[in-house]
This record gives sequence, structure tokens and C-alpha cells, in this order.
Amino acid sequence: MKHTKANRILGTALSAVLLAGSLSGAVMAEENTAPQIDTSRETTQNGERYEKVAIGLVSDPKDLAPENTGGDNSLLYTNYNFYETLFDLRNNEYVPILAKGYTEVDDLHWQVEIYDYITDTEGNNITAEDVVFSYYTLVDAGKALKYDKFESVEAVDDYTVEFTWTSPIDGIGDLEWPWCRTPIFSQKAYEEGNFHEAPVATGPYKVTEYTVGSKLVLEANDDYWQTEELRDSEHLANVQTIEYDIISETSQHVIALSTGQIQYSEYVPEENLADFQEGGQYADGNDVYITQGSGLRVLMGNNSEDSLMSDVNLRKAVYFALDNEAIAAAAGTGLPAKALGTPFFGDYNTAWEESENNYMAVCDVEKAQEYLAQTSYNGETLTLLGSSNEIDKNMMTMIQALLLNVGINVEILAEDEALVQTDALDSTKWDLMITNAGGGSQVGEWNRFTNYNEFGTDYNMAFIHDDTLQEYLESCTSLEGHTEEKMTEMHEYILENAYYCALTTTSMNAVYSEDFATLAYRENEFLRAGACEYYLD
Amino acid sequence: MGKYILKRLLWMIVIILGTSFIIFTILYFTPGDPARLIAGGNATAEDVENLRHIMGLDKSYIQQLGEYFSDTFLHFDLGTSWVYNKPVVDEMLVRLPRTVIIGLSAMVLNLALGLLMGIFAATHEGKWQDSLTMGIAMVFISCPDFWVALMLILLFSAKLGWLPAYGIGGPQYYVMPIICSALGGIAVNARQTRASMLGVFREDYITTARAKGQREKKVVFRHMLPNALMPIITSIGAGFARIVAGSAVIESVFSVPGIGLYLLTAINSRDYPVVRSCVLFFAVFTSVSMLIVDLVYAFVDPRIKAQYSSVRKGGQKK
Repeated sequence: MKHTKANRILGTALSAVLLAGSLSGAVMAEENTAPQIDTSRETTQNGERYEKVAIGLVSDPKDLAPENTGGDNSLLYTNYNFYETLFDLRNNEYVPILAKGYTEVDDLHWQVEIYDYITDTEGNNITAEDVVFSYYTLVDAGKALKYDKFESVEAVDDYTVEFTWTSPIDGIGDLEWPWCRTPIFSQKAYEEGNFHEAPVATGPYKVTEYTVGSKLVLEANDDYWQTEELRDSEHLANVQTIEYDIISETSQHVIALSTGQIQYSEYVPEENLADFQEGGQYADGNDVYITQGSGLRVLMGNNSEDSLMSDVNLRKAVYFALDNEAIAAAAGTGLPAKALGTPFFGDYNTAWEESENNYMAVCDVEKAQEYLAQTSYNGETLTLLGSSNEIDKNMMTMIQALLLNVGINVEILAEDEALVQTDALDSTKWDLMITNAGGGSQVGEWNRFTNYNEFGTDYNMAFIHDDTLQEYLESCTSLEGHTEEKMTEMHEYILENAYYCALTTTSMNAVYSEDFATLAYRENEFLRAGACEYYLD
Repeated sequence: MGKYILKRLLWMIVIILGTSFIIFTILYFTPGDPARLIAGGNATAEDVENLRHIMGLDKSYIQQLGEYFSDTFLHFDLGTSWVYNKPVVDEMLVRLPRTVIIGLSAMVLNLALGLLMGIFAATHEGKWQDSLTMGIAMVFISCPDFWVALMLILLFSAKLGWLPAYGIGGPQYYVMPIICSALGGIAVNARQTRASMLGVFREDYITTARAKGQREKKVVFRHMLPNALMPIITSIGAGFARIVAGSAVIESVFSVPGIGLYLLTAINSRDYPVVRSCVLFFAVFTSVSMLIVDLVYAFVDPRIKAQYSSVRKGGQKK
């Protein structure tokens, strides 16, 4: 008994020290507004181009070929400058880019007509055969991700292709990957060129230099195929040269911005952001834009028989004992989650935050102890699995301290990402796990960790096989069932069973030169340097 | 001597084959699925399984090992990077010169400065010059590479704006990485040289040389230094091997896309063809470096040359 009391005192002291340390070193991220254009100044809106912008990335896209669709996020910043897809995805709507539009022949056959004057940067006309070739290049390389509904595609005439689906398209984001993440290019250019380093495509920019691991330089495509009237506002080329500098150390981003070597970075450590804000040492000529990101860090209990966490009361005890404000401060980045989701998505509902059972919005130690008293927990050590990166390690240390505060012992198992992905599938390896989730919508994000068909094991990521939860998910992901009411029901059901506990949502901390008049993002997340406006004076 | 070299070369083949086997086996049994990592977080179980098949990861250990040895040693094909989708050899050839420029320049610098500092300290043994020189060496050896790198960046890039903080380009991009790489080696060589010089300082032949009235400079450079060279050469040999194998930290801090950073990225992304090739390359480079060092021993010290020959003769008698 004495030992338990001592543990709790130690836990309280430890969490207080950790929190104080975190707060002293970090600037809590708060959202601020994007730059507003000053209409009294001369900008690229007059049709003139800004000369050059350099953007810092921490890793390079590695392979510029269209088959490179998974893995590194950096390609989402770079590749869509020179590759285009049939449609872009904006707020769950398919916006035609290379396509003129689509026709539903029947439930399983949809036709897409493309413009008949599309040309790439070498002047090759893009035809329906090229579209078919582009799709099968991806399929044959084994990189056609999220193609569950894709059966085949064939050319109907010179500029029309017909897709055959495996089942009717009735889900949110069913066509996100086939239509909005599949680059289209000329077969001739692909077969004659080296797309790994010098791709030839239809985008508003073309690749002029790529030094793997160091630098990617793009120049505006002066012969862009689309007419001025029909040109999409995200596919502009307001800057002549875009240079992506690969800078692996985040502290180097601070130096590069302060010396003007780069003009935009989302990788400045949070503790350095104040240097670029009003009154900061590098504030002259720079500013900071902090906004909600799409990522979510989720804590889940192992619901299999192998773990004590299969007890719903123990899960509730754990989740009520956690303080997301403290965890976010310890992480040094991101915002505390107040419900299971991120306000980034249009289908997130702020009303969820007010729910009576919502353990994510409060830290209630008394309630945690009440639930703990209803369990058979007797001081056993729970294993908390997470990635060995600094953010996860700091979060896990804070969680450990907060749980010790209510008398729950936790050991941290920090592994490299590849190992986490393997051990996550082994129910004997962990009791609690932190994972990162993301997606194109809130329900898409939930799908990642709640769907029991996702891993081919009949269990979802938390080793849950709950048909009710699955029904909720399938209903919410369908076009008809994707309603506020259904989503709220699913959220409530998760709370009731304490299946998951969101900890933090990611924030995007962009430091930019004041030469940017506006900032434009693909899918609200990945900077489109060509679509930004710039001051010319 | 020729047979000695041949024998060493044969041993080198054994070492290379052994290294290849060990690294392949370690990577094969390392937990973590490369296909899942390469496919990314959005991939479904089916996507990952499909990719595993295309990458050949669903084959047995023996099958994969056989294919690896056959490709590497019969067809001299190191494979294609799973992440970069480019032949590993092509990428290594692009990156190697950057690593070698930094490593070799750092070595020249640490040899020149290290020797001079060591000689200076030894010839002023016990005096303030000795303490100062060894104090500087201690500072060099105590400062971690990455810390020195950040300090140099703050001074020369952020404050003075003289040198670029990262990337590759003209010679100015290599100045800070070379200085950072050299500092530790300068200190080690200085301390090694001082110790070796002091070891021969009171030998009879040195006293004789001085008694004959030779100038101190001649005594130091003609009589003391050649006899103190052996431990220094050993130290240089180890430093030579580190030119490529120890480059990851500096390349990462300065964002220099060299071999070290290539290996580091490959390890993190489970890009096994790259990891295996880099380790194989390091094994070859280290073996060749050590062979060269052993041959230099023989060149510097005739006694060792005689020893190599006597080993051969001894073998013949049997």
C-alpha cells in the first residue's frame, strides 16, 4: 500500500516536472491566419512571374517516377507540380483536371473523357491509350494502392476511357487513389525517357535538375496545355523556378530561413517558431503560419485476451487519467485532441467534444480511479508500444508519468517505425500503443484503425472484432450513410467502449518569407508553390 | 613478398564472402517488413502482400540467399534500390566522390596538423607549449562532430554568412564538413605522434646523432620520426578505413548526399539491397586499406619486410 502511494506521489511529481520542462522549452502552437494579400502592392496577380522560391524539405522524394506512390511524404509536395491526374480531390469532391468529366454507364462501368488537346512538356499528345498505359504501369509495379474498387480500364475512343469497378462506387473516397493519385503521362515519353530522375508530364512545371538527396529544381512550363480560361487555379505557375532543398536536420532549416537560402519550410522546430514571429530575431522579412494538420495520434488498448487492456474499465481508467494538454506539451508539437478526430476534416463534428463520456476532453483522476477500482488490475506492468522518434518518446514518457499518478505501471517499448509496424500485429507484444492516423476525410482516418478488414487478420489494429463497430464504419463510409448523425453515433459507440483515445492532432507550422502574398495548398496540406501569389515590389 | 600479397588477397575474398553472408542473414532475420514500410501507411494488407511478392520477399531464405550470391558474385550486380528504384552501383558511383572528397581532405588535414602538433609537443616535452598543444588536442577529441558542426554553421553561415550551411556545389560547400571530419583525427594523430616520438626520444642512436653535432631539426625528422612512424601508420590506417564508413553523421548534418547518408536512409527505410551493397563496399574498402597499411609497414621497416619473407620461407620448409 505504501509502495502504491509512493508511486503515485512519484507519478504526480514526475508529470509536473515533465510538464514544466515541456512548457519552458516549447511555444504552444496556436492557430493563426494565412497571409492576406495587400492589394496596394504589386503582385503576381498581374500575370508577371516571381523569379524563384526555395522550399526546405527534410527528405527527398527519392524516385520521381509515377510508380512511386507510397512511403515518403515529400513526393506529395513535389510530384504534383509536374504530374497531373484525371481529377483533383477537394473537400471530397472530384475536380476535373485532365478529365472533362465522367459518365456513369451503369453501376460498374464509368467513362471518363479527357481533353483532346493535352500535351506534355515534350509536346506528346495525351490520348486514352496513354491513360490506360499510366494505370497499368502502376498496377504492374505493385504500387496501385487503395485500388480495391478498380477492376480494369480500357480505351473506348481516342479520348475516352472506361473504368470497370469490382463493386458499385458507394463509399467516401473510393476513387481518391485511382482518380486523384494516379499520374497520367505519355507512353512514348515514358519508354524513351528516364522518369526516375527526369519525368516528362503535363503539369505546370517541368523538372530541370534533380540531385538525389540534395536538390530538385523545377521550371515553369511555358507551354502548359490548358487554356487560360479553363486553367485550374491550383495548377498555376506564378513563380518561374521552384527549388526544393533537401535539408535533413531541422535546426538547419532555421539557419537556411534566417539567411534567406530558403523562403518556406514546415520543419522549423516548434521552440524556434517565436524567432520568426513579431519581435523574434529573424522576424524581419519572415512570418509564421500555424494551422491544423490532418494527422492524429491515437492511443489504443489491446483488446485481445493476451492483454489486461481487454477490460473496458481499465481502458476507461487509463484514458480518464490522461491529460492531452500535458501530452501535447511534452510532444513539443501538435494540438491536444478533444475528440476522436481532427478539425481539419469537413466531417469532423465539434459537438463530439462536448459529449458526456468524452475522456479526451478532460483529465479526471477521480473517475480514473473509480474505473480502476472496478478492474482486477493489481499493479501489473503494461507495455506501451510506440515509435522511437523524439515526439512519440516524449509523449510516452508523459503518459507513463500520468498513469503512474493513478497507480498504473507502464513500461515503454520504443522501436523504429518498421519494427512498430510488425509488432503492432502481434497481440503479445503490447498492451497500449500509440499510432499515427491520417486520411482524406474523418471517416477515412477512422477506417485505418477501426476496420477489421484492413489487415487481413479479421481484427482491427486494436485486436477488436466488433460487428457493431464495423457496421457503423461501413455505414459512415458509404455515400448515403456519411451523415452527421451516423458519425456521431459511431463516435459515441467508441467512447462507450473506450476503444480509442486520441491524444494530439498535428499542426502545420509553416515559416515563410514575406514575399509570399498568399499560400496555396493541395488538399489543404501540401504547398503548391506555383499557385501561391507573390509580391513583386 | 608477392606471395604474401596473394595470400592476403585470398583472405580478402573469404572476408568479403563471409561479410556478405552475415549481413544478408542479419537483414533477413531483422524484424520489420520492408514491403509494408515502402508501401506506406495507406496500403492495405493486400497491397503489401502484392508488393512483397514483386520484391521477392515471399521466397525462402535459401532461395533469396542463392539469388543474392549469384547476382552479386557471378553477375556482379548489386541490385536495384527498393526505394530509389535505381541500380545501387549507379547511385554509389554518384555519391562516392562526395564522401571521398570530404574523407580524404580531412585525412590530409589531420595528418599534416596532427603530425606537426605531435612533433611540436614532443620536442617541448613538459613545457607550456606541450601542455597547450595537448590541451588543444583534448578539446578537439572531446567535442562531438555534430556539436562542432552546429557551432561552425552558426558562426560561418548564420552570423558571418561566409559559407553555405548545407548542400553540395562548389568547394565552399565542403569546407565545414572537412573541418568537422578532421578535428577528431588531428587530436588522435597529435597524441599518437607525441607518444611515439617520446618513445624514441632517449634511444642511444638519438643521443649518438646529437653527440655527432647534428642539428635538432635533422635529428627529429631524419632519426626520430621514421622510427616513431609505426604506431602512427596504424592510426592512419584505421582513419583511412573511416573515410567512407564514418561519414554518416557529417553528411547528415550538412545534408551532403554521400555514401554515409545513403546507408543511413537505407537502414531507416529497410532498403536491403542498398544496405547490403554499402556494407560490402565498406568491407572491401577496409580490407584494401589494411592491406596497404601492412605493405607500408614493410616499406618503412625492413625488419617487417624480412618477417613477411621469413613466414613464406618457413612455410616452404614445412
